[in-house]
Amino acid sequence: MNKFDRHVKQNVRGYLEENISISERELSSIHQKIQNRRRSFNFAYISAFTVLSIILFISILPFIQHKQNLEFSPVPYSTKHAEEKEQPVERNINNTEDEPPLKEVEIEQEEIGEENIETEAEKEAKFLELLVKYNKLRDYKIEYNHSEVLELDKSTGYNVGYKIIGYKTLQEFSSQFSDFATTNAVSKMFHPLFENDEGLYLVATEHYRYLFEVDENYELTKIAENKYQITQTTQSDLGDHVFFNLWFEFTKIDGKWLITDWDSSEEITYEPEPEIEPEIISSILYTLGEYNLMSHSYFETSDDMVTLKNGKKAFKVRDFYTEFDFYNQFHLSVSKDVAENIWKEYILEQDGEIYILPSKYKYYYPIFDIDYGYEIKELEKGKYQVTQSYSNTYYSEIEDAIYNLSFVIENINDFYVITGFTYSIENN
Amino acid sequence: MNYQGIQQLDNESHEEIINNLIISHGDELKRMAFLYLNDLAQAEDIVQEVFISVYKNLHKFNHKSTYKTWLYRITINKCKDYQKKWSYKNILYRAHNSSSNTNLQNSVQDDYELRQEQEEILQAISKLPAKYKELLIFYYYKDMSIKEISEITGVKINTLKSRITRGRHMLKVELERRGIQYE
Repeated sequence: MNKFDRHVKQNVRGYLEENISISERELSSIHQKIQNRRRSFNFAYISAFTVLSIILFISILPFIQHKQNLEFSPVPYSTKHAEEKEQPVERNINNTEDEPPLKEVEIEQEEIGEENIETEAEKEAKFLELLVKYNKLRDYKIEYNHSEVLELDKSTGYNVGYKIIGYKTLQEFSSQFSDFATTNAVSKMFHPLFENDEGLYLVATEHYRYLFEVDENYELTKIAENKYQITQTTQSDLGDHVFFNLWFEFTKIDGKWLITDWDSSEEITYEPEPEIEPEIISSILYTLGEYNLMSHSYFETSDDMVTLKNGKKAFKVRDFYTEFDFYNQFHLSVSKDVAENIWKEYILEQDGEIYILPSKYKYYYPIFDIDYGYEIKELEKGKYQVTQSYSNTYYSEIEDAIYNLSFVIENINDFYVITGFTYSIENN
Repeated sequence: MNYQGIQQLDNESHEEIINNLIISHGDELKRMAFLYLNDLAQAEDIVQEVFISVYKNLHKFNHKSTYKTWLYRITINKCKDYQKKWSYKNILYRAHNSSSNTNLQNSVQDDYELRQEQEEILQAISKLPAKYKELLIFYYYKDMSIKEISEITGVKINTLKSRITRGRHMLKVELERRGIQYE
């Protein structure tokens, strides 16, 4: 960070921190709006519930009546006598041809268990069971002591750690999760934890733990006879461009499946890169900045106007004696021809001196204004076109005038020079 | 607030969460919005909208980002949406003039020149094109790493670096035009 950055940063922060903060009025306004939203939600919810209940009641009323008829009781809305009505068909509860009795399935499963043969589907179900336990870690609260603070080495990227209550080592801490994960996996899931001779510390940082989305797609891969891995990619809350990759390794240890390793990463997808090199764009913008400064920085004039032979009054331009020299002074940024087109209506050469005519808007030409955005494209190698449109009523007598600017900029001996310039003004 | 604090909030009511988020991030969100728009009244409205939007969407938040980055992204998006409105230029002109009579300028500091300079810088930043401005806000005000900025904005790291360079150059030119030079 250079001097410029430091100054900007210091001023920006200084100003904002001194002047901008949430006031009590704003706080109460936010709370008020949230309360209103909740009340309106509750009202809407209750109203919707009431309406639905009424609809539901009306819709089931005929069935209630129907049932009453089946019980041979005449009902007010029926034209038939109860005895004439269809008799209820008794459901054959013993019809279980397609569904073997539950007991048989249980017996089959027990037999499989006894033979100790675990199908792939059963393993997968077991892994998902472990992952559900993993997900519950999000609600797990680590108790820590605010007063026992460990100053961490700045090189770790963290400032302080708080001493965890109840556990002295990572091993002890991870043992509470031993039904689904090993110490190695737990230490990675709870990163960053610090352990030293004094105890175990929780590092103060805003941290989020990746959840395994049980309902989303995942990939299960067999690595070895007793080793599997599951990977899953899901979208972040930040939008379409950030994805999370989760990776779990499952190993059977002493006849029990456990998560033995864990990893996560983020994947960011991006828009395509701009075709033009950033350095070239910087140079082109610099050139356009110079173009903007043509009437401010390049020449000086006399303080008072003199009367020319044609009777017009004009300022004498210092240090320039021919029109050619005047137009050519901008040549590192603006070609002589373009400069001549811009300036010729204001410039007069007389008796070896250069004069500049006063103008209503003082040497007006439309500036390139970065406020309004621009488009840049490469016409051919080393030749670019910059276009911009904006509304500006300041210089124009046309109300809501739209300015359309078009520059052709070429690389001439490593200088980016405006070699073509046109503009038009139209009514909005 | 550290992550444990945030984590503990998970089980609390949404209003508790919102309240804690306002306390922990309200000021900085308002500052970011102000830096983006240079309009105090609008920055206040944006922050209110952000928290109401968070309240509405809290049940959808899957903890697949930090609350902080989520809030930053919503704030910047709200500012962008606001600037896209056709009436923005007019509103900016009016609001800026009116805001200059608010407590900002009434709370006159001894160092008037410093205040002027700070205001020029803030105005210059707020006038940068959106794609540079949001990056410079994170870069100058939030002091965030390139990776963090990349995550929030979705801009590729190389593109981001070049945009920051270009944005800085534009800012420098604009500040020089306003008579402020640091080099």
